[in-house]
Amino acid sequence: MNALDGTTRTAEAFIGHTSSLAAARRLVTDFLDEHRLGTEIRRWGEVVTSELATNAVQSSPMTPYVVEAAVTRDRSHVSVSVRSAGKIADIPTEFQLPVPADSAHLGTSGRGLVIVDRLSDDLHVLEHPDGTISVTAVVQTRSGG
Amino acid sequence: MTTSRLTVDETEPGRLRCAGVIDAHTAPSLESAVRSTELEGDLMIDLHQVEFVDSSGLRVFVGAHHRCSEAGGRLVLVRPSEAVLSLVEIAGLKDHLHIAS
Repeated sequence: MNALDGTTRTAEAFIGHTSSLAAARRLVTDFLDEHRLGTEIRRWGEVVTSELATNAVQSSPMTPYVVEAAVTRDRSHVSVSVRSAGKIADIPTEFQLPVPADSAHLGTSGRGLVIVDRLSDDLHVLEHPDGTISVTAVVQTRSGG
Repeated sequence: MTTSRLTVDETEPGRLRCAGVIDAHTAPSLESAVRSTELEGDLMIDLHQVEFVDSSGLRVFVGAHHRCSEAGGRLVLVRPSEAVLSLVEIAGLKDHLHIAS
């Protein structure tokens, strides 16, 4: 299913600076709180938003990015999407390729999208005609599906 | 606008106490504190008052772990929250970082 169909959603643009990260997380956690999806989903949304927004800020500094959170009508799926001026090439290769379980754990960078991938049921990247990209993470809730 | 805040205090040599949020906005201040700490044995980072950590914080922990190892000591994360512990585990760092409750 497309988790973005038949949904309630919220979206906001933020400046491409790390000072915006807390507000981006707040947008999503407030939205999830409104829908009473529980602590686990709230934590998921907080971490996923932080990682995706950080990637947007680091790939396109000072360029606005848009965060969108959505909950399906049946509350079975939640998604967080960040659209930015980044490029597909900015997506770390460890996200694009599986990371062997016993390797590279002590590298000091490129861990964010791996975490998002492991926390989420689905993670995909969409390149738009205008050159922006959206990275969307989806998780299934316990209350639906 | 809401902005991430983190305070880092060196409560005694080799012990840092953090309060707030560790993300890409605040991680540099923790990294700076780790770099400026003189290591004589283990480095303890007290996370009891840390509300949120993402991979930017993990990156600092891994860097501190390497620095401690080179100095013959250990990095010890003290009293992390359940959420932080979960993130450490998901990132595959559980067997590499020392945790003290």
